Amino acid sequence: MTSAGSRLVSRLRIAIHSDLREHGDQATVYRETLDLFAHAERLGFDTAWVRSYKFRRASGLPGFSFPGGLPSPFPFLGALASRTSRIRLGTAVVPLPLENVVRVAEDAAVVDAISGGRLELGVSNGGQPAIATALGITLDPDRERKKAAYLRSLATLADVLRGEPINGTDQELNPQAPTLANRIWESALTEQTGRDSAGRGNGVLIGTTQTVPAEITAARYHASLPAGVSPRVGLVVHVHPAVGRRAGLAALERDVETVYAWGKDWLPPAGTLAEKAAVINVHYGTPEQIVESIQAFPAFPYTTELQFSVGYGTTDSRQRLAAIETIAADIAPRLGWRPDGVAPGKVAALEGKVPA
Amino acid sequence: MTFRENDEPLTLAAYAILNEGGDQARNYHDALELFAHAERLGVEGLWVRQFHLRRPGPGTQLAPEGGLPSPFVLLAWLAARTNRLRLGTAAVTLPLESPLRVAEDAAVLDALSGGRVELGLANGGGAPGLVELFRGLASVRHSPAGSNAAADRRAAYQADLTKLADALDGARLDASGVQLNPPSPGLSDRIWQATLTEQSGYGAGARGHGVLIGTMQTVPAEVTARAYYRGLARYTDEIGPRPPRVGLATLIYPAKDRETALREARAGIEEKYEWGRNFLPPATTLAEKAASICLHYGTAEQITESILAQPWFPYATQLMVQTELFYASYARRAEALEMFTREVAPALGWTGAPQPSALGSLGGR
Repeated sequence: MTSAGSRLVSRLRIAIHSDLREHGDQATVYRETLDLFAHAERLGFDTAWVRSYKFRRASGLPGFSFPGGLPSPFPFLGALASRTSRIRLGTAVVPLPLENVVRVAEDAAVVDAISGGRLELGVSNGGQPAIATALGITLDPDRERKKAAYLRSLATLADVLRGEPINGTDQELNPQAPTLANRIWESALTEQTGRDSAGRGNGVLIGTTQTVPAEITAARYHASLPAGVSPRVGLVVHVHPAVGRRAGLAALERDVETVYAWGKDWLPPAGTLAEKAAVINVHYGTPEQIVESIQAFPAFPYTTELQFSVGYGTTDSRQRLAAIETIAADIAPRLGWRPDGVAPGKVAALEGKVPA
Repeated sequence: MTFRENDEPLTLAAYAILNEGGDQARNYHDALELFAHAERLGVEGLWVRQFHLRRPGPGTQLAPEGGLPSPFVLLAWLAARTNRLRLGTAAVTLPLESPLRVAEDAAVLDALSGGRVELGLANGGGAPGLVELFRGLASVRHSPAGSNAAADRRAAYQADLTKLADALDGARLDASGVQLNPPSPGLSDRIWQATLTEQSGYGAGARGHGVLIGTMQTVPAEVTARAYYRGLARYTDEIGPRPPRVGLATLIYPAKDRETALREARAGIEEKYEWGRNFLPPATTLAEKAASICLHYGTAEQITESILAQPWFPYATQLMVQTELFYASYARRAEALEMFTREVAPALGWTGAPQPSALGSLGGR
């Protein structure tokens, strides 16, 4: 089995990652997520990432059955900046084909300014055709041309952030955010994207809706990184602490079945509930079992930041708070994480729980 | 004593254009602290302006050195620090935005703030080239020969307003029935329009929206305000009654007397008058220029008298108090706002009150 000692990356960071698609009133979900993230900062988590989803469907229509989500990550991160002082703030991700990149740069720069430079800017070449249509945007149906348009948007985004004159005008970005271009991450689903993101000096976000195994993307990323550029590989892991594997799986049944049914056309085949949980990257059971499960995940050795998602299998905010406490105290330290920047008393308290 | 043309309780808001140069992060944080203080003073609302991009080099009134491109992000920071303050955009320039993206941002802020958003929108294009930059060349409406380009732009703006309001009301956005998320009940009733003309003032009223009126405009503010009330009367006839919402920008500079105020604020007054000399009432002396830019200055009594003398005052339901352009520090701005809430606003008919937590700090002065 892979141990923390054989990792390809020296220092492991940890993040809290939320899709804000818990059931219930959206305002309550947003507020509880802010509370969860503020608590994650106190526990020493390095980064908080929010996914973004647009629109909702009346129930009974086909498609992903989870309700809601967060369409505007930047205002949410503005509120989180106010609630926190140290944790880094990430978008996972802004789908560039659905956005005006100059507006993205502006929103990103304002979050960075009011947070003391804490933004991590995750972007993707995403965007479902139906969502684009509702927004009044036409996506190019040709994959290669859509990819080329994404790469142009990405280059423009970096140029605008660096303060270059925009699109032939005499205008430049305000507020200025010249270092933010060094904090771009790309959602990477393929080997080619892993290689190209590395070549651009960007980080990669892997582990969600992966069509190519994440370790293949991650290995290619590391191999393609220019000299002198530090790797940034964020891997999402869904974690559900429980008294044992059986209890964990029982709690996860509804969410695992829903997510697997949604992605079964392109996910690896799976029959049993445990197999389905494995192919959607869910780790559950006691802290020891979760540690073992994550260490056995082939992409783990390539990971610089483990991004823990605790939405699956939980039904209320207290369960999620308890889950991240378990992660900080009993799971992440065994995977090689040491808290950085939390109060000394808190470090001592956490390290006291690390087994010799 | 107070003569007013409406029955609404007079409310106060802080209003900030945030266009100073220098370190923008520092400016934003200083402003945010001032706004949080405004809530403690009993001020009911806050409005922030939106400016996109900047030109390299020294700023001017028309092309400022700084500004805030993303009001929803800044207001979300404030939503987490305040409980009661209404959070307003004054205004989002709609032709530079996707109406549905604005609706999403506004709905998220409304959810984060417990329903405190006041959504101010405006027509206009900002600096030359910005519409093409933000909306793409394809979306720039090309007017057929002989048509009226300004009328086309107004029509496009009205269409965007309708689309935005419908999305906030939960309209189905495509054939499969997707709707805006998060739901934003009541937010479409909190739309305001920043207007510059009699025609657009009437239009805001006829839609049942609120209206935001500046006092340094080509058309006198009272003309726009009266047109708004006529539009609102039409809305009431056709749809149903709705209380007027009329925010008036109110620029103040308190000092121990008028001479001191003029001396301290001279550079700002001269600059602002130069910026608007083509359309502002003509003026020669510094005092005339201060009157021309509608600056209220001097002691509390003098500021009160100056505001009461404004022909637009009877139409206002909210004073948008601006403490910018002339101030040496944020401490001075905070003092000015405190003085206004304590000594001026009550004399104008404001019945708000500071929060208990603010009494101690006020009493100590």
